[in-house]
Amino acid sequence: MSLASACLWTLARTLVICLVAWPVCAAVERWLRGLAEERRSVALIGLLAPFCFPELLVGYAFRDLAMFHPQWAELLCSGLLFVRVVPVGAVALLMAPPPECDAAAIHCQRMLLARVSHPSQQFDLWRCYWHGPIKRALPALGLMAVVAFQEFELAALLMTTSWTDWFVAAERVGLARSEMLRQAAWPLVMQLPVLIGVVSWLGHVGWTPRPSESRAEGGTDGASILRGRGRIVPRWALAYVLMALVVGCVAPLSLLGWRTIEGLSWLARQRTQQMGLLREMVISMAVSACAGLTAWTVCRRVMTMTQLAPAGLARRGRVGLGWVLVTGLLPGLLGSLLLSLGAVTLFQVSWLRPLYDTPLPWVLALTVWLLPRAAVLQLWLDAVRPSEAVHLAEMLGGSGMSRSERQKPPHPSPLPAKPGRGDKAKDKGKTKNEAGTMTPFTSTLCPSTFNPQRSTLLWRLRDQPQFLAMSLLCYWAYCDLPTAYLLAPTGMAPGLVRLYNFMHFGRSAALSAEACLFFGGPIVVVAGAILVGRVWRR
Amino acid sequence: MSSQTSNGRWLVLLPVVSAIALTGLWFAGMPGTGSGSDSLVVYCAHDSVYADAILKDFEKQSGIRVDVRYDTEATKSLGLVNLIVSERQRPRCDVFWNNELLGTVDLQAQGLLEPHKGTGWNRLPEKYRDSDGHWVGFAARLRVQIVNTREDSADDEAVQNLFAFEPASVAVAKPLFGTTLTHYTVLWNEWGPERLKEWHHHLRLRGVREVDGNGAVKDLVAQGVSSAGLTDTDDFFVALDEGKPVEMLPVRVLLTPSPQPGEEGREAENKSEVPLTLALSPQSRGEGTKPKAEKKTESKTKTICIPNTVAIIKGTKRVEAARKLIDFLASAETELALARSKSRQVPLGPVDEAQLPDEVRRLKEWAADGVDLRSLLPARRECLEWLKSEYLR
Repeated sequence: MSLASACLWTLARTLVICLVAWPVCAAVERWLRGLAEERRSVALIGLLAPFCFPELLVGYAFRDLAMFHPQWAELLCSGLLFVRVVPVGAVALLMAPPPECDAAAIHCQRMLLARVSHPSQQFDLWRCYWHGPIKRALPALGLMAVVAFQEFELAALLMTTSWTDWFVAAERVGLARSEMLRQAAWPLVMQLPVLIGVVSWLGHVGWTPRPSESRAEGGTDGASILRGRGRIVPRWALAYVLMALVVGCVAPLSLLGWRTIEGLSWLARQRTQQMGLLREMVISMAVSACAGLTAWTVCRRVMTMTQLAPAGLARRGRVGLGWVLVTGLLPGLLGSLLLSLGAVTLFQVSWLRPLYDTPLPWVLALTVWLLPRAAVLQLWLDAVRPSEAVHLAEMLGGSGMSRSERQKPPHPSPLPAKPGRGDKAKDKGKTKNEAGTMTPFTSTLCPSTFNPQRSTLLWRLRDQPQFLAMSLLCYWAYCDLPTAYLLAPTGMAPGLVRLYNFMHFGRSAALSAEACLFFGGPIVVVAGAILVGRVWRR
Repeated sequence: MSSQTSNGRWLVLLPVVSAIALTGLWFAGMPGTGSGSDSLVVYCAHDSVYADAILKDFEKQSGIRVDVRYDTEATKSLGLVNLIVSERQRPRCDVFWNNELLGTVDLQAQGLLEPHKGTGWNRLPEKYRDSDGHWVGFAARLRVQIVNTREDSADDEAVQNLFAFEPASVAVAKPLFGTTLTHYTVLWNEWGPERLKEWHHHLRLRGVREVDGNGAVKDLVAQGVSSAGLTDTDDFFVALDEGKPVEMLPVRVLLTPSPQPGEEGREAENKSEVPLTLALSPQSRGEGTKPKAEKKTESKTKTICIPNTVAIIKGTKRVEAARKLIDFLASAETELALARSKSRQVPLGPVDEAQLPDEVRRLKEWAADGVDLRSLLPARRECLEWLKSEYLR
């Protein structure tokens, strides 16, 4: 199949998946909004688990099924992709700012249209739809399309058609770089409109001021309008999440399950094999930690600047910052395969060649690839972080904090606030300081002695979510195959490539065990770090 | 903002600390520095599952550390050949262990190999080494037809009929890489481009199952999804060891004798009459099947025996260590170890026959009929160009 045909095939698959997944995303998002805070966290973990589950492991587990029933391979690949894109769509919807034109406005416009049937009124109704549900839905659909279109490992292991396959083959056959870059125009052109839309949305979400009204309780958001008047039964959404968990996580694990145990007992007797695997894991962890943390820090800095920009900058300055954001995030949104191919080309330029055989290209490509994900995660954290509670926790004990810091207002989140029950009480508790600004009275009362509960509280409210988000970012880097495959230097053999290599030989007990250890290792490390931290604080 | 500023410091510190740790890790493992000052960089296209043990033995015996870079199963060998070519200005590879021959010959033609006539080179037959010592071949595999015997017996004629009339029940690997590319090169050379193209298009049009590697071909046939396929002996033995109902037949290519003066026209006429059932071997013409037919057509047909090859990359600073590795790999001990491994590779030099497994002895007979691959580089280049135009449009 030619590249053009492969691109079109992938595009068609992407469109079908997005269209089919969209109602599910809307239903899941509505269900999530209706949940209490604690339950929502659990539900989100369940929803996101299939997206965060290593693709390589999923592809490996289902490879035999696809191979022995080739007629179902495409359906299987699409189904697994469906399970991966729904969380993306649902979370993007959840994060989206409220529509400029809500359900009430559309309803009013409709009523008006029923009385005055004028073409301009009809146009206004369509404008309402555009500024309401459609504008809200597009970024979520865009992100879903990007995830589905850039799929690499699943398509490769399930042997379905994908444009990514073409590039891997071309790279290996040694197609001229100029020809490769010329051919890269196909997937680029197909993705670019969506990518620009997604990036501009990210920028928009990043500096949209927080409106005072809540979207959480009204139920008059765009998604509900898109759904019409029909009511979505929350049980369906719950059933979907459970089904996705089974298909995306439980089934792959159980498909590998019994052989993994057999393989683990074999591995326990192979000391050389253990040491090799451990070395590969340490290398991958170091690279992913470096890239993930760099991406996080860079993103935090840039977003802080852009969030502060509207107050201090003129329109021209904001546009400039917007372009910085676009140019920073766009390469990452192209996907790790195209990015890695670009990095290989770049680092083979004569003056960069000395750096080619170092971990720098690998780390750099991973960092750039992670930037959009870091941006989404940070927006998400800002949206769900209880800023007031964090601020109050920081006031507790006041250790190590200057008076001016204590008097600062809590950090304004870019996303709409959930009205807290304590809002009124908080306002009552405010006093005027010397400068005349309002500060919580706790800051005026707090003693300068150390409060041991403060660190625990701050960890729970502020640091733990951040730590988990950073860990997730690093884990994505850890699981990314194309960068490791194309950019790892000699002497730093990434385990991922070796496992991918063996996965083409079919399933074996030893391989299943190694794969489970490789992918499970970082999770154990993060869980261990949290546990140790908890014990240490006590 | 306060929540950001208070933990902002460690947010900056963490990437710095991890970068320092990574740099340390890289320096510790980097060839040419620290503890690894004598370490050899080996690019290895052979399956790591077999190569690892051999290289570890070499490390133990010589005390030289080896850093290996493997390629993936799907793009075997060609990826590393191209990598070596792209790194020609600043080579980082010292020794290239290829799992086939023509890629190494290609590197030699581009002047990227350093000659070495050591003990390994001396013990191997002329057909499997470069006369100037640029590379040496050892421990070979053969291209075979793998057949699922659950419903049909492993009959050469039946397999030919499958290729001719039911390609949908046959599996082959994409011929862009690895030993399948060598197989196509041999056919390109022996049949001529037109006939190979016709055969290839015939298979694809009629729905042959094209997968990303010989391992996948083996899986499909072993599970009974495909009735037969083209693969290598090492993959076949994986299926056999797993107790799958499979049997193998050697791929035999009908050699076209050089036309005598005045016979060109008749030759061309004969070629055009050759039906597609003759794709792989002459048996399908009804001359009977093995073993009688094999003997009968011995002079006309050849098997495809593909040796591993090993070569020193020009510009290496670790010449002595590289030579030691080459002599080690081309030694009788290594050939015996590979013959006794699960891949059952065929020793090409003299070894103690008593130590060979029965299956390898049988393969050795087939390997004796192997096509001489050394002169096929032009055919490979032409064939690869055509394949690129087919698969990378």
